[in-house]
Amino acid sequence: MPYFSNASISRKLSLTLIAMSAATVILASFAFLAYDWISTRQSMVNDVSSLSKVIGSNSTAALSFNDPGTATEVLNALSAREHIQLACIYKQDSAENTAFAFYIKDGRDIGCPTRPAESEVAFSFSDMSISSPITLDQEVVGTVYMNQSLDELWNAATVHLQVICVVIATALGFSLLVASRLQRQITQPILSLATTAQNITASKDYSLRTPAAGQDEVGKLIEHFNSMLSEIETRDAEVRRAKEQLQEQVKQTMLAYTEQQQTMQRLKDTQRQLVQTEKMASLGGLVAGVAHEINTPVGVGVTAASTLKSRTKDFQESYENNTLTATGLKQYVEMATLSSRMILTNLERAAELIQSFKQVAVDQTSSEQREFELAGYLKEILLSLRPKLKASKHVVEVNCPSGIMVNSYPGAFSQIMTNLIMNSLIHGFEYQEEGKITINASLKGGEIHLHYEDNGVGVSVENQAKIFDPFFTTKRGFGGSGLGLHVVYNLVTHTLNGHITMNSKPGEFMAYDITFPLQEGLRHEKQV
Amino acid sequence: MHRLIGTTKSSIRGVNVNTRLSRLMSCLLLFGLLFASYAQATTELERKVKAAYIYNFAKFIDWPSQSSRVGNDFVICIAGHSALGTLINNTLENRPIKNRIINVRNIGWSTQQLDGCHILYVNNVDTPAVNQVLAVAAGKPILTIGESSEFLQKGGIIQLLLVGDKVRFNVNQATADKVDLTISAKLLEVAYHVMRIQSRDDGDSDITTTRHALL
Repeated sequence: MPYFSNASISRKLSLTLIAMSAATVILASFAFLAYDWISTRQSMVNDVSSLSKVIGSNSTAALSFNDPGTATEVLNALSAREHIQLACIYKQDSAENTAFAFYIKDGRDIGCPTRPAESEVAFSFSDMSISSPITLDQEVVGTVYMNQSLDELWNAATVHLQVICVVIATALGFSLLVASRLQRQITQPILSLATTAQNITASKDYSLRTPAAGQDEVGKLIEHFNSMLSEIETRDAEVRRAKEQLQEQVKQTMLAYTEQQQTMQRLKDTQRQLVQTEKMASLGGLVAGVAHEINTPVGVGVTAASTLKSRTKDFQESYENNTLTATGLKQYVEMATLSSRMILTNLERAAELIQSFKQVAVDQTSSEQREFELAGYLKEILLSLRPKLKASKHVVEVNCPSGIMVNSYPGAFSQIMTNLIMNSLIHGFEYQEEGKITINASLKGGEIHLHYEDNGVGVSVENQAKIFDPFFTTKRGFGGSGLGLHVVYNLVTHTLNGHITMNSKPGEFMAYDITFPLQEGLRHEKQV
Repeated sequence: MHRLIGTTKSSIRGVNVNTRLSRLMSCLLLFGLLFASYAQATTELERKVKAAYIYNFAKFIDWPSQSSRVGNDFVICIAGHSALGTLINNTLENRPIKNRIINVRNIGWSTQQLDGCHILYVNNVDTPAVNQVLAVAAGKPILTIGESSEFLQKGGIIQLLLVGDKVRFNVNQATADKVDLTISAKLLEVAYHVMRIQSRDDGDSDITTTRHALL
């Protein structure tokens, strides 16, 4: 059926119509033909069998009185019947099976069969034979056998067939005509629909419409198609509008994004500046501490030196005035010895302080990578923070095995420790006079594990997550910048290439665990 | 004196044919009469055929209704004694015919016993007794069957005769008409001759013969 399914609708319609009319005509014709055949045949049988009864009845006497001549005469009457070609009469009680009398139509080359059945109707292709009993006074006295050619039947059938062929041809022609008219009615609207669809596809113009065509299925199809087009048109407009809106939004978003980027950049710059400021502030604190720390030995030294100067002046006057006594000399020597020792001690102390401060300060500002001994460096850091610690009763306990050589950024490390300790002092021990800070450092698998803990107020649970965020502070307005721990976080993760975690229980402790590699590669240079 | 009356399909052909036919038939009749005496020496087969013919005649003949009413049996009467009479006695007694049973009655020469007979077979012995029985029977609806050459002239209806080696019969329709016996045209068709012999008081007869079947 692929041909049919691919054929155009008009062809399908035509074919269907023609096929249907052909089927109808053929069916009707053959039903008629069959009926005609059967009824003709039946009437033929009836005719011949009644004829045979007449013949039989007329030949009873001939049979009874053994008179084949009369029987033959009776049979000869059949010559009036064109299609009867053979008739035979058999005597019932005759010993032989040959015919008692017979009739053969002129020119037919046939003979009587040997005694046929008493009553029988038999058909062959070309003829029909009927035998029926001859009865006389309720007694079968013989059999009449008649054979009729079916030429009549065949001729009639041939004529009928010819007529049917003509009828079929006429019907097909007529249905072809009707089909061609009818299919145009159906295909025309469909074609116009298809054309419209094609035009719309080509031109993208959804305002095109197919002219309405009647109220049948195709008409409905067109109607729905048109309403669909209206819908599409509306949607199209909506989509276009939405698209424009979207573009506008994108443009605005891009603008906003650019602005945001700029803001971000500014924010980062500000942050960097703040971090720098914080560093400087811490350095400033350091300088203040150093100044204060050095002030004492230098002051003691100055006092001792000025005392030595005035006593030496008095001693000189006494010596020039020769009022110098042995006691006076002895007192002066004792005083000079004491003063010079005091001056020396204090100067040495100052020198020592300056030396260590110098190192920390240089480290904090330079951010250079070098090798340092962890325990010693921790001590130096604490020393630089002594002015802050000395004023309070807080205790710092450092547990660090000596001899751990770390190749990393000591400036960053000192800043981390400074910031943590300052944080503990400012926040942790705000309401506490005798706080304790414990710093445990150890070397494990090429990494420094540093545990820092104070027993201060800690930090509330909700603030724990934000503790490393920049500008997070609980002391805003009281001098806190909110960058201390953020700087710590940045220095640990970026500069030292390590990790920092915090743990706290509000009111009990605040702890940090810092891990960083013992040997930091040269990858991280100048990163803050 | 012979007068010819055409009554069958052969007569349709024309008067000339009839004339020629009647001459031929007269010849044959003569020949038949001559042959009848020869036929005295009848064979058993011939008698059987004749008995069968007598039986078959009944099927083609209708008796007037009052004669049918007498008794339920179909009565075949045999006058005198003959071999055929004995055969009829032996073969036809109690046979069914026309919804009846055949009753064979030997009446000798008694005319009293003729009442109720449907068929009367008369031997061909030419005696006054035969003539008397025939004369009585001729007034009754009885199919009289005989074999003598003058049987029909004496008032008989059917005469059996031999034509060649075949048993044939002549019919005198005039007598049959007179006693209201209706003979089927079919029977007449196979009859050798159908005659109309009007019996006259002076003994002379008008013979009208129609030949039906020629062998």
